[in-house]
Amino acid sequence: MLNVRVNKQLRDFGLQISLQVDPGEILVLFGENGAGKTSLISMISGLLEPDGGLISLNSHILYNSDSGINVPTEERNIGYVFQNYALFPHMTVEENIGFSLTCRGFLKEIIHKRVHEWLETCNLTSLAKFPVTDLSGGQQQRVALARALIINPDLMLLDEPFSALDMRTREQMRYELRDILKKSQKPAILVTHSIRDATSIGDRFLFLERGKIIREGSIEEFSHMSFEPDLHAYTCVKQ
Amino acid sequence: MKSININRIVIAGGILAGIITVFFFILPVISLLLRCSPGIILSTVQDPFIIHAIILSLGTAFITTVVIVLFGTPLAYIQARKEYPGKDIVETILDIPIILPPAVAGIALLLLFGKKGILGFFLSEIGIQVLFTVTAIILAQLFVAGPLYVRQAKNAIVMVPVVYDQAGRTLGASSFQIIIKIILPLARKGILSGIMLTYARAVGEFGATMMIAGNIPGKTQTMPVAIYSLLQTDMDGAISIAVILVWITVIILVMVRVLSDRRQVC
Repeated sequence: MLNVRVNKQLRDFGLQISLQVDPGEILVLFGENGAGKTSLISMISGLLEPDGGLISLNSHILYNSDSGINVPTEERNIGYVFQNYALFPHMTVEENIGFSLTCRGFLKEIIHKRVHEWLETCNLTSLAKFPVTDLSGGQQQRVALARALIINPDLMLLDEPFSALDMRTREQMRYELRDILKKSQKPAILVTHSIRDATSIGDRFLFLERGKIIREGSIEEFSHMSFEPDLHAYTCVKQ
Repeated sequence: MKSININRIVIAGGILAGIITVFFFILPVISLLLRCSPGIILSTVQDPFIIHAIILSLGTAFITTVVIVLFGTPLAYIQARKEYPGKDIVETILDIPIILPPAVAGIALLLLFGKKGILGFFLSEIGIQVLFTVTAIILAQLFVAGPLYVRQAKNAIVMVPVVYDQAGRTLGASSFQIIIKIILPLARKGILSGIMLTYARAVGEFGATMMIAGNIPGKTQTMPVAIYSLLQTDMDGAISIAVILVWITVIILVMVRVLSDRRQVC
């Protein structure tokens, strides 16, 4: 279980958030661009240091401003899928997926076995030797997912994972992503400003505006709320 | 109709300017190559002093390049990725040798490593002589060519998006692994061109070398210094060495282009 209570002064506003994510749950962080969604998951992953607060994951303290604890990103065991995937362009598909295991000093045979398990899970086996720069948006997204999940993370963070995809691929990838996340049984946070992404993938939502949670609830409630005029104004896309 | 004519004039002017610029750079090299026959070059390179000058230039430039890559790459990384007080001052200090005339650099090094210099005094006290030695050649090359590498490597690292560092960290990579497995391979083209520039600049270094290492044939006489010496007595010999320098430069350029086009797996 993830527990977060953080505050951070961002350029235009102060971010102040408390949230909780249960094991196997997919929480959607929803809100317009610049609401503080990416900043929040950056703080959870350790890429950005909060001004104060507490972050704990499965009862391990990752950040505590009172006791001065700030576990480095590389030790948090959190999978992160970046907005444009941030796949290493000088590596092949299998090198990207196996990167974290190589860094951890696993034996070549073990790396090969685990990489090929994930290649199969994500339907990428035939592309193993391809440079990632030769892949389509959907294939790149699957590589990014496999690369993040192979470390067996305690939490998955996904920052606008569909933004680089065309409409048709997006539709297909929503179901694939939910399927892969549910199979992994990891708690996950999905950042999006698309209602369709939120309703297709999430279990629960938090609506952020200028660094504060202004609404929260189940995805069923969210689907209903999204038709309200005030909320509709925030959602630029209803796909 | 009028705008089409103006466009054509602009394009034609641009092409003409381009041709003039290319010829300005290539004509001196062509005139050098035309003046020298392979027979003259062969007879020149049989001179033991010339052989020594060639080996000395290539060898010292190699050592200089290795030293600057080892010390300059971490500095380039820090300058590209880290924020610290006084960073701009360090940046300015690194630019000084680039804009400093080589003769001034020579005097500065002379004053530093001379027997009464800040470092030279202590070194001579413990019996280390720097001036008019091979070490002096390397120091002159380091001073003049080193900042070129640091600047080039820094720019190459800056061009690597920070999101790759972040991705590496979320995947459990240490800072060292991120540098070795992600940043350096992605910045390799810029770094290789920095190495090339440094080596070429070091091979061609003349002013500062002449001042602190002197012109001792068979000891501290490098190729550029030998060209200067032979200009007075043996024009063909001077041209032959100049042609050899041109070929070395061309070979370096071709090697770097081939290396940087090859896909690198980390």
